[in-house]
Amino acid sequence: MTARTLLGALGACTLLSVAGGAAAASVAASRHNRLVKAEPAVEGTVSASPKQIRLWFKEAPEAKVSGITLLAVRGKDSTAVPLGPVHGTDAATSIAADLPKPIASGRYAVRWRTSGKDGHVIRGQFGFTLQ
Amino acid sequence: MSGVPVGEALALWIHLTAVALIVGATVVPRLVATPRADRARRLARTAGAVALAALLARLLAASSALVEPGATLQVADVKAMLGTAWGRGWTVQVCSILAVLLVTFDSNAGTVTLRERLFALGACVAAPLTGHAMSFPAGATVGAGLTALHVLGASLWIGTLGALLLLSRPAELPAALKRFAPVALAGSGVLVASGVVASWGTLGALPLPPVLLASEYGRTLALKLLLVLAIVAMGAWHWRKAAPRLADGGPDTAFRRTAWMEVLLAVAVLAVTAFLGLMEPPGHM
Repeated sequence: MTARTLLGALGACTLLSVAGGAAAASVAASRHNRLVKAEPAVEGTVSASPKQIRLWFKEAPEAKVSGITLLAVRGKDSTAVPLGPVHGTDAATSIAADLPKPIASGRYAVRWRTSGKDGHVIRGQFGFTLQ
Repeated sequence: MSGVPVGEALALWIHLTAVALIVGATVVPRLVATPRADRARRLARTAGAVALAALLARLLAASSALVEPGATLQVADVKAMLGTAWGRGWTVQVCSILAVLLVTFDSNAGTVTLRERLFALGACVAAPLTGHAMSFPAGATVGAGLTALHVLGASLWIGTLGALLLLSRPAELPAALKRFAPVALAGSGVLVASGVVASWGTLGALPLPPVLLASEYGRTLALKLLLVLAIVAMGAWHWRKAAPRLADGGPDTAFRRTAWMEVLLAVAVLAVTAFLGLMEPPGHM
């Protein structure tokens, strides 16, 4: 085998490893931190208007990049419900946003975003129903 | 399930490669008869400038993850990212590279000084501060320490070999390779030992085939290990066969060709490492 052939094989090997890494990563990737619990509960039903939306994560969330949005879902339409700013709680792994006033009965969607110490930003969404 | 941001992975790859070259550039003047420290410093500065550009790209890529669908990246997103633990780690990394640039611009000694080597070491120590190491199951300090050793081992071995090929004259290469052998052995030893322990901690088990094949992260790690084995085999061949042949008057160009192959394989390993750095390890699920 000549050096040129070896170099060619090595170049192909380099490209393949990069492509292989990218391909594996594209199907495998999810991010570090994750939602473990919520109040109101994920896809749960509550009988009284919650005072806040509170989320618990596997590891301490980064408050500076965290966000919580509440949407009132009416059929195919959804409208944003005013929420206070995201703040920390008595638990290091939890964040919350307060509801300034009670909400009406119906279906709601919670969208959230945060990251862990490794900087990987994660997003999610869940629903709950207020009877 | 979202995909790994390829742009961020590429930036991380370039950053790691540049750090390896910075370290290599500060080691090579100790290995060659005529240190030519000015050329070594120029290489360290070039690698440092590339590392800064890669770090800037990483910041923009990481901040882009905060942008909601349909929106564009705002200064506020970048500021928010800089306010996180990741952002503080990124700032330390930028400072470590700036320190390398300043100290190499400031020095005009005949050989690379201890101060310059210490700042190059600082770039290695700062490298783990924006990744999985900070969420290591046994703690961020353990994770960062192991990863810093891993980066240092790779830099001493492959970064030095790359810098040696770039900086050495043909006549001084055989003697330089003799002096490089213990550096490469120490670097590869530290690299493998820290890699095994870090993988163990990350996977929750020794990185053996059943564990590796059980997850996408493990399979990608297996690809990295296979490439590392190929580099170890090439390194052993260079050490035991090619370098003695060169010392006996063999052609310099033939040695350089295969040595560059070893370096390129290592660059491929760094690419896989960069993707691993943005994938979720199974031990964290």
